[in-house]
Amino acid sequence: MTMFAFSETNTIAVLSWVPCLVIGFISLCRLNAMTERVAFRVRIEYSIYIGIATLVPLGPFMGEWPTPLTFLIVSGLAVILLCSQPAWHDDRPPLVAMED
Amino acid sequence: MDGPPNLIDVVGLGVIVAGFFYSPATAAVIGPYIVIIMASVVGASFAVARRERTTRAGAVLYFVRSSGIAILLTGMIASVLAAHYQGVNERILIAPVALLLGSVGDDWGKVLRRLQSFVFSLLDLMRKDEK
Repeated sequence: MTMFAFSETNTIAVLSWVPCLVIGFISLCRLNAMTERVAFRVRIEYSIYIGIATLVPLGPFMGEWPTPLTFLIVSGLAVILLCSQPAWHDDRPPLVAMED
Repeated sequence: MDGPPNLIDVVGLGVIVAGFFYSPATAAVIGPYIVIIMASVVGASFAVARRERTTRAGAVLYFVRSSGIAILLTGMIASVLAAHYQGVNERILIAPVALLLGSVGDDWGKVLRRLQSFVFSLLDLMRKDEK
């Protein structure tokens, strides 16, 4: 039994592109800003963010249509990345992201 | 038209846009490539992190180029490897091959030089065995 009408499902799927684009763009900019000294765990972190930003819009092709909860989660992730902008001021990785 | 957009208009727009993107014709093309796209994109992100910092537009182009090359070559390379190694299924290979190809980025010269020196080392080893 489907919880949402087809039109709402499509709308949520399209609306999810917005936070996914934000996540993808911010992650790409920060990956570009990374130096050799940036810890591998931080590179993995932003690679996973890009993976999420790619997987959510492509999910419907595997039958995984985003729900309102999915939309809330990716939107929250986009907000988190936006809020951490001061730490990456001037496109420079923060000290905490560097190798120990 | 006065006033803020109606919720129905937004829903209608979502239906139209989704109808173009999520159409069966698009699914037929993209569907089989989803795993390749995912792995290529993750691999390309490592390539972006590895390179020298450039402009944002440069980073986006580099990312699209790296993942694009990986998406184009993965199927072919996975097929060749699966044909060579009988016990390995092509479907198992596409994700790691896409990940590796995406992570190469623009360093094809380095990769090919290392491959060349590896092949020459193997040939030297075989010649020593023959003697």
